[in-house]
This record gives sequence, structure tokens and C-alpha cells, in this order.
Amino acid sequence: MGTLALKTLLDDRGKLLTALVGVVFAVVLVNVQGGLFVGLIRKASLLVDNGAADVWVGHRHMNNVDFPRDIPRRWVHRVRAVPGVAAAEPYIIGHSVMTLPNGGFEQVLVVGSDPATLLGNAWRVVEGRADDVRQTDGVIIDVCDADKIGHPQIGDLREIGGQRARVVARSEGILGFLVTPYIFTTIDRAAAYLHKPADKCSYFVVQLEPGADPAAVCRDIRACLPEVEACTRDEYAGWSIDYWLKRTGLGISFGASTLLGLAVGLVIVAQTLYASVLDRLSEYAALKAIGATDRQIFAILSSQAIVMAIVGSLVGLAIVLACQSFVSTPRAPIVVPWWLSFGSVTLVLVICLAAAAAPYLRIRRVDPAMVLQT
Amino acid sequence: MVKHPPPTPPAAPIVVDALSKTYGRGADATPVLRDLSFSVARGEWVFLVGPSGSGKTTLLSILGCVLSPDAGRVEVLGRDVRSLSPQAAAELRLRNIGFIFQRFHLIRGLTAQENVSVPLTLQGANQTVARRRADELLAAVGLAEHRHRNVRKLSVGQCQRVALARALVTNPDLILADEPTASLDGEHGHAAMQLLRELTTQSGATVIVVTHDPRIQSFADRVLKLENGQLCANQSPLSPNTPAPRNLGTDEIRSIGEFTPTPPEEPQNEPEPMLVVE
Repeated sequence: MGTLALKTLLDDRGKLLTALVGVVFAVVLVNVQGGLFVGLIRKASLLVDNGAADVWVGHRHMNNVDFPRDIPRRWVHRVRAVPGVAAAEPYIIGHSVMTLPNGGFEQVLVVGSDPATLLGNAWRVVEGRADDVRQTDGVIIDVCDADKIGHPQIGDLREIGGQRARVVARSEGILGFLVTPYIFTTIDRAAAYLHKPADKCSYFVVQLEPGADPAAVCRDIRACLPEVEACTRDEYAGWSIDYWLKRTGLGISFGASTLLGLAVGLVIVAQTLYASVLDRLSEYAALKAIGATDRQIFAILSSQAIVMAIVGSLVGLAIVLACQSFVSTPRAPIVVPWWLSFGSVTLVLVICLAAAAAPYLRIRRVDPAMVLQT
Repeated sequence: MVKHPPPTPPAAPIVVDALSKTYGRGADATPVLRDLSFSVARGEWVFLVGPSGSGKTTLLSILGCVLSPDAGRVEVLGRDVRSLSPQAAAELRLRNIGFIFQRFHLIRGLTAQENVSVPLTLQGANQTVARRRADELLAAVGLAEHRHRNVRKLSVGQCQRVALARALVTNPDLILADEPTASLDGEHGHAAMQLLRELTTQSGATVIVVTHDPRIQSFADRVLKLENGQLCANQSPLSPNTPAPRNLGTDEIRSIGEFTPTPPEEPQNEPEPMLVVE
């Protein structure tokens, strides 16, 4: 039965090609659209995902890593005393304004980490070194945002919040969900740029001892400091993403266009299968006259649909990989996690099987006696 | 290959009693078959003849269990056609009836071997077994060397032989052929019927042939002539003056591959009519 399904499918090469275009289109669209969406939305939790902290402690109503509320720095000692905590450091994130050499200005997001541990400092440093941030007035900027702040080179000076800042290193690809560039520096300098009292900070970033249960540590921190929230890295990344998803309707926008792509793919595959069946109606009628059951006919059609889905998905995923390699940029990253590819292929498979339903119903209506009439 | 014989081997594989069939309803009702009664013995070759619209194909469809009669009783291989569910009818067709269609209806894209093995595949037979059986039949019809060729690339005569092999691959008890020689010239048509005769002699299959072709009627044991849905003749086709069919040797049959137009025949005396309409 498989041979029959496969060879009749291959015999109609033109139609097969058309159906494959539909499947490839759907797979590429879902993965590239989905990859762009994942790439974009992951920026919302960039600092959490890459900050090397196992647990984030902040204001009781914290909901987005980029919009923290101040907490007293002195509480860090109580956090350090919680069993399972290996290290806890205050961390500052806040919005300020950078004055540019041409007199212009740019909103920036200042990130300050403890100078001793540099927990939560910049990563992917491509010029200078990450620990150069300890130098006087030292800040790290990202090359991808350089155009916004007048293309500063290493050693160039800028002014942030009325304070002097000197570029000591440059990272590549640390771009947040907001359009404001990240400026990494030490915590005290960040407090100065933000005009924040020296006894305040935004978070405590916590590293756990090996084997410690993050959920249990969070629970203990909340018990010992009822005024704060403590959550694991994954939890806070999820909250930060949810913040944007719920407030912007971004998911609906991306989801709608992706569904549209799937619908177009479905229509192409269904139409092609249907046309192929119409073209071979007498052959299917002959099969029914010989004694093929409806189940066997469906098996033929569904096998063809599955082959289309698999071949189209493989070609589509290859194109997605090429897109990731050649089109993805730090500003518009295409991040295709395994579950997106797996999900899209599964979805396309289901769609192709659904597309086989229309021709199947057409064949069901075929009277096998027609082959004796012609 | 699993063969399911009918529950009780019938003495007459086909029994038709007061069969009627009408297409349409009300004012549009068109009676196609009216009060037909006949039976066919095991191993008998019966030809259905008659003008277009006389009901031959409808009768063949009913005997093939693809149509149900409106009235009367039709037993095919011991099974009452009217009482068969669509599944049971399909099962009966698949296991006990072989079809040869006028336009062959081979599956494009498949090789001759794959086309012949389709009924066995539908039966759920092992692919190796099905292909071996298909090869046997293709060899019997002289297409052993063409078994791996796509049927698109075969001539009309070769396609006819593939269709013949497909009809026989399940070793059916009943073979229904609808205008089997319509696409062939006289020599090929004769050869095809001769081949069918050779291949069914051993199995003892009953053969019903719908045909307009007077050149092959000499193969019939009996001819049923239909007119306006009624049986108007039921008799042996050979009158004393009708020449017996020329039997071709197997090698001669197998040598016939490509379709060639029939050469113009020398003018002959008008042959005796094969049937006498009462």
C-alpha cells in the first residue's frame, strides 16, 4: 500500500512540487516568524538569562527585570544568611540619560554590579575586557547600539546623568527588549548615574551552593524577608516575558500571521491533493471496484500527506537553518528552539492529514460502478 | 494470498431470478433491466451482448456487486447481492471476483508488476509473495521482461495483458470483463481472449464478458442478448457455419506486444448471424 501511495505521489511530480511548496512555506513561516518572536521576546529576559544568578530577589511587586523598584541594600546580609546561598550581591538597573558629543541625548539603561564579583556584568565582550569596568568611570557599551550613542570607541568619554563615563570595553549582541542601550558599570557608579541613594539597590542577585534547591531557597528568603520577592532565574525570565506579552499583545500579532501562513499551507496542500485525486478518480474507482475499502483508500491518501509533510518539513527546516545562519542579527535574532521546530512539524503533519480529508470524502462518494460505465 | 471461498460452494456461481433495475425516480424513472432470469454454471463463459443502452453494463455491475438490484434475487458465488453490506461486497469482490475494465484503469506511475499485485496488496498479502505471484502471471501473459516498466510506457496491447493478469492474480472464481477487446485490433483481441481462456481453464473460473465485438463471440459457451433491459436470446453462439476460433499458440500470443492497426481484410462473404433473436 505504501508503494502504491508513494509511487502515485511521485508520478504526479508537478502536483507534488506544488504541495511541497505549500508545506515548505508553512514550515518556514512558522519557524522564522516563531524564531523572530522567540528572539525578540527573549530580549525581555536577557539580563536574567545571562546574569549568572540562580535566584533574583527584589521588590515584592517586581514583574520585569528592566523596571525594578528600590530595596534597601542592607537586607543583602539577611539573604546571605539563608541556607543554600553561596553568594548574594546587590544589583542596580535603572534608566538614565546619556549626553552625546553633538549635544544630543539618549535614554540608556544603566546596569551596575558588585565590583568584587562582577555578578551580572556584561558578557560577550569583544573589545577590552569585562573587568575593565572596574577602572575609573569605566562603562561597557554594546557595539550594536553604538550608532545611538555616537559610535564611542574605547577610551571615549560620555556623560550619563551628569556624571563622566569612559568606554573601557565593548560587548556585542546585548540588546534589550526596549530600544534603550544597556550601559554596564559598577554598582556605586550606577547609583551615581541614576542619582540613587547609596543605600538602595534594585535586586540581590544570588548564587546557590551546589545541590541547593532553588525553590526552597526562594521560600526561605521570602520567609526571612517578607517585603521582598524571591524567584528562580527561570521564573523571573518568565515573568519578564509575560509582562510584555500581556501588555503588548505581541503574541497575538505574531501568532495571527503564523496561523495565516499555516492556513495558506493547508489550502495549498489540500487543493493539490484534491486535484491529484480528481485526476485519478477513475483509478480510485477501479481500486474500489476491485475491493479496496474506504480505510485502505484513506491509508493511501494519508500516507501521501505524511510523505508531503515530512519531505516539506525537512526542506523547510533546512531553509530555516540557512535563515538563522545568514539573516539572523543581534537586533533581529531568529531563535528557533527545538520545541518550535518539533511543534511546527507536528502541526504541519496534522494539517496535511486534515488536508487529506477533502479528497478522501470525494473518493468516498465515488461509485465504483463508474469504471464499468466508461 | 488468502482466499476465502463462499460458505457453500454453489453449483451455479450466478443465479439471477426476476432481476429488475431502474435508474431515477418518479417521472424520471428509467427501467434498465426488466425481469431477467438466468443462471451461469461453474466454468462457463457467458457473453452479454446487445445494443448500447440495453443494460449490459448495469447487469455486469450487479453481478460484480457494485450495484444492487431493485427487485428480484441475484446470487453471486452463493451470496445474495441485495443482502451484502458495502464492506461484504468489497470483500467478495476482492477475494473472489476479478475485473477487466474496458479502459483497463491501471494505476499510472506503478510498474506492471506493482499493478498486478495491487489486489493481493489490498488483501494484505506479503509484498514478496504478491510480487512473486504477479511475476508468474506476467510471465504467463508474456510480459516477464516488462514487469518493471511503468504502465505509462506500455502499449495498449501490453496494458490489456497487465489488466488481464491483475484480474487473475487472486485466482478468482468469477471474472467479469467489460469490453475487454474494445481497445484492441482484431488479432490482439482474439489473442487476449485466447490467453484468458488458457489462464482460466485450469482454475475453472466462470467468465462473464460484455462485448460488442462479434469477432470474439466464438469464445462464448453461451451468449445472452439484451435489448431494452430484457433478455431476448440465451443460446450457444456457434451456428454450423460459424468458423471455430483460431487458437493461437502461447508463443504466438506472447509475441504480440505493440498495438498495430488491423490490416484491411479481404472482402468476404457475409457471415452467418451468430444469434437468432426470438
